[in-house]
Formats: sequence, structure tokens, C-alpha cells
Amino acid sequence: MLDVAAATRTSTEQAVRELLLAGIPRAHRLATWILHDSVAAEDAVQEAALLAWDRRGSLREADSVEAWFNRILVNVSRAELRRRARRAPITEMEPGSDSAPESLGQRDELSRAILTLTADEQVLLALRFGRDLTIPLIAVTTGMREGTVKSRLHSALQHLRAALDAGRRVEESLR
Amino acid sequence: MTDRRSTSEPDRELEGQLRDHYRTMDDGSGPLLAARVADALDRRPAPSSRLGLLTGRRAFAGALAAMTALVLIALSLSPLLLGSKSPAGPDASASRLPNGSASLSEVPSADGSATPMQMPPPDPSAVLAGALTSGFGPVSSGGAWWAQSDGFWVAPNATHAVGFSPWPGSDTVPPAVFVLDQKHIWTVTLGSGSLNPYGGQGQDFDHLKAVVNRTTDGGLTWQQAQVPGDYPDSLLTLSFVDQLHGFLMCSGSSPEMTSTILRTDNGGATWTVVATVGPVPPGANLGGMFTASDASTLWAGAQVEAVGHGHPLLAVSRDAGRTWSDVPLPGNEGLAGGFDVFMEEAPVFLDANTGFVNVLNSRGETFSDVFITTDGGRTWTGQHVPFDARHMDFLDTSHWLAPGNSSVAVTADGGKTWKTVRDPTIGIGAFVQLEFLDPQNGYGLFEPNGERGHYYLYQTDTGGSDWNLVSSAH
Repeated sequence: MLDVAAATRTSTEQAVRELLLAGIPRAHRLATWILHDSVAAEDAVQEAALLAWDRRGSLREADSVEAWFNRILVNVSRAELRRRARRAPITEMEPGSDSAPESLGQRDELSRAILTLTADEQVLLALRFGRDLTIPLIAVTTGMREGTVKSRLHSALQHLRAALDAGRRVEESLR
Repeated sequence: MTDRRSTSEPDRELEGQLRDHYRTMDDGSGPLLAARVADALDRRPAPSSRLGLLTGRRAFAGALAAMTALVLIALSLSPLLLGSKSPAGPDASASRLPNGSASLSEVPSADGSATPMQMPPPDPSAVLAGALTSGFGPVSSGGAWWAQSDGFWVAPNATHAVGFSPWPGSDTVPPAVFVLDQKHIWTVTLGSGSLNPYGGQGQDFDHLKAVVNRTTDGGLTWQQAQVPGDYPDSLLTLSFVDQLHGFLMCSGSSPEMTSTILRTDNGGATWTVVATVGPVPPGANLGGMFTASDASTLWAGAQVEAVGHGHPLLAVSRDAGRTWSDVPLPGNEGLAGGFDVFMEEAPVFLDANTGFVNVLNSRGETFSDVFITTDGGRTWTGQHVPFDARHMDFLDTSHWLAPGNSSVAVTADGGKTWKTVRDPTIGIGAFVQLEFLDPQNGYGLFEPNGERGHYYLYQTDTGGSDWNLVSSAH
């Protein structure tokens, strides 16, 4: 086993590298959906790629590279969302406020509402409605149980709707 | 969206808006980023840290992929005999199983007959371990091999049986495995006829046929038994009170579902339905944080999936599962479990009388309320724990340990005062589960920061001030 592993390591690493790099554009889209920030998404993808490369020995089958990398990327992105939440509460952002990230892709009410959600809720919405992953695949990617994914998606949509309603009420009161 | 609760017209409209929203967010910078990443990979030095060393060992051992957690359950009270402080072991070849996982063993046959596993010589210093996910191969620990069968790792003749929940540190999933002692283990896996078992589309579309796998020789041989019934979208939890008598809870995870309790009186060879509970209050279905404290007393706690489902926070049956009633926990009487107030582990009973229920409360800062009984659950007293103390390890009514960030929180007075014990060499990360044999000797499952799903098993004989690496898994 050891000899076989040693003999095939070089070719396997090359395959992993190619598959990893081929998936970078898709990974960047996913990170952008989660982080709502293209520049931050680039950082996340690069960090995740280096982490994945360091852990390549743990990969069992080359054809699972993308799912494996997605999982690492989601965790890196989720950690970034939590860091942001600790640095500055998202709820302090107001429409057109200078405190909103300049790189926010679409500064509309839906973006602002999404940013009020928890990190996990933002991740789940991006995986479900951005990447169009099925519930089982989301479970694999996030490490959550499928039942939890369903419950939390349901909850995320409820919270999103509440945030949208609250935002509309604020706008109406300002008119 | 497969969840029936979100298929209304406003939901579909919102989902459509979300899809459009995400579609507009691609700025086309991916290809340039790929070139930058390629450059970064080329300049990346070979791993030389502790993690790198372990990666090499994992590759040597056959590589563990998609392994979200080790499963270990500390049951033996015999003295610690772990001699090795680092992973090591002989080489071996992995064979492919039909279910896609790799193992030193062969799969138990479908008719329930046992197939001997080809095992290396047993090592008495090994711990018993397991995992509940697919796609992993053989691994060595403490000089002994762990062989895997149907997602469960075992070391025969282990002096210690230690177990971890699957997906530790994430969400609340009861382990579909039960380790009674070093020899007697049961796991639940999907049987033939299962189709989209967690699809959320209801019983007309989804099917979960459960199979209970059992071993009476520490994993050398396994036998299977089909569980009667179909339990899609249910959490399945096993609990045994002795070698013959056990229960299986199939906890429906949506409001309109039922929960079904089954029992065996022959060590898991056959299963019969005791009762089906729910779905509407006051007979709401039961949570999946399930355990049996004796042959007739069963407990069902509400996990976080219970959000909106009306599971009683804690329910008890004193007639082996036939009838159930709410358990009034002081300050939480009549409360249903959900996202805010829930359990992440089943009630723990040290014997038929002494038990603990750890209720997490995330209204604001997350904290724990531990409820203790010394009279078989007839009365409970609460002890507030002012921090998030999920996956607590209860040794007795005084000594508890809670996993923390690179540390362990320890109390010797039943949660009134706590101190933090830390090994500065262990790095930055979090213990996600602890299993101690006494206040000094135990095991910890450690997840380094940024390495979600990558776990290191450590052992201590100093109460957590000094940890020794046993093994790792990813």
C-alpha cells in the first residue's frame, strides 16, 4: 500500500492540481454569492485553495475534488462572514451608507436583507439558490444533516422575508 | 426547494428573486484568479508542520476522505494502557466495499450471516473507534489497526471503547451507533429499498429502510437485521440497556410526521414496533435525543431540528415506549425544543437513577442549563452554566468537563465553579468532544481552526493540561 501510494502520488497530485484549478472560476462565483464581495471572494478562494493543497493527501478520489474543495471553501467563507460579524454588525448598514462595502455587487434591498442573516443562513441561501445544489449536496458541503439544512433554509427564508419587510417599512416611513 | 413548508406562492417568488440575484453577481474574474492560484500553489512549500506530518501518515494509511468525524464512546473503566503517543502502524491493503467505502473487512452478507474479518493481530492498548460516513479506509492508532465495517471503526480487544458523535461541533445529530462495551456494538445503516431518505417529499416519495448491524465480538464479525417500517426524514437513534434489550427511536423531523419506537429483546436480531407517537400536540412526535436509562424508562429530547415541530423539550416513557409524557425541567416547563432552546446530546444516565440533561439556550449569548436527577428522573434540579457547554462529559454529579477553544473547562462542584485547563502546545482550535474515564484520564477530539472536518484524537492523563496525540482523521 505504501509503495503503491508513493508510486502514484505524483500523478495523483497533478490530477488534483488540474481539477482544483479548473474549478476556480466556479469557486469564485460561489464565494461571491456567499460573501457578496468579489475581492473578498478572491481572497477566500485563494486561502481555500492553499488549504486544500496542503491537505491533498487526505483526498481519496480525484473525481471528488470539487465537492471536497467546495467544502473547504464554504468553511473559509463562513469564517470570513463570522469575522465580519464580529468586526461590525451588519445591521448598522443603512441604504447608501458609507459604511457599506464599496464592492457590494448589487446594493439593493435583497442584498441588504441577505446581509442581515447569520453566516450559516447566507451560506445556505448561496448554495441553494446560487449554486442550485440539492439538499443532500448542501448537507455534504456544509457538514450539516439534511434535516438541519431543510430547517435552516426554511428559517433563512423566513428571516429574509422579515428583513425585506422591515426594510420596506423603513423606506416608507422616510417618504 | 424540497421542503414542503416553503412551496407557497410568496416563497416561490422570493426563491426566484434569489436565483436572479445570485445570477447577476458574477464579475468574470474567475479565470484570472485561477492563474493567481496556480502561481500560489507552485510557490507553496511542502507541508512541514505537524499537520503535514499527519497528512503523510494518513496517505500511508490509505487516506481518509469525507470523514466528518471519528466515533468513539468511552465505556470501559479499566486502567489506561495507551502506550504510544503518536500514530503508527503496519501497512495493509484496502478492499473496496459495494457501498463505496474501503475496509480491511468484508461486508456482512444480506441474509444476516456473519463474515469473518481479516484482522491484524489485536493490540490490547488500542481504543475502539468508529465513523459514520462513507469513503474512508483503514487507519492505525496506538499501534493497532482499526478495521471498518459499514462505516464503523473497531479495534478488537480494545481496553477502551470511546465514541464520538458524528458531525461533532456542528449540528445536533444523534449517533446512529451504540457501543455497550468493547464487544457489543450496534449501528444503523440504510437498507435496500431506501430511496431519497431525506428528500423531504413525504412518504409517497421518500423511503428510509433501516438496517441494524450488530457485533458481539468487538467488530470481528457483524450481522444485520432489517427493521420493519419506513422512516423517511427521521433521525434514527439506538440505545441498549444490556446485551439483549435495546430500543430504536425513529424521530420524525417535520411537524406532520410521527416518531416510532421499536425494541429488541434478542440483541438486535429482530425488532418490533412498540408505539408510534404524534404528530399533533398534545401527542406531538418525539425528539431524536434518545436514550434508555433502564429496560422500561426511555427519554427523548428535542434537537435543533425540532424548530417549529413541537417536540417536547424532554419527554419520558416509563413503560418501555408505549406512552409518553412531558418532563418538567425547572424553568422550562412545557417548552418545545427549537433553535433557541434545544439539546445537542441525548440525556446521559450514569445508572438508572443518576442522569443529566444539557439544555442549550441561544436566546442572546448561548449558555447551558444542566438538569440533574438522582432519583431516576422523578425530580430534577437545574444548574446554570454561563457559557456554551455543549457536548459536556459528566463523570459524576460533581465532576464535569466541557470542551472549549484549545482548552477544557472543568468543574468539581457540579457546575458551580469552573476553571479552564489548557495545554499551550496543542495549537489553535477547539475540542469538540471529550470522553474522560476519571478527572485525570480521558480522550479529546480536537478540530484545528480552519480545518473543519479534520479531527485529531488526543489522550491525557493530566486532566487536560497535557495532551498526547493518538490519531487523526479527515
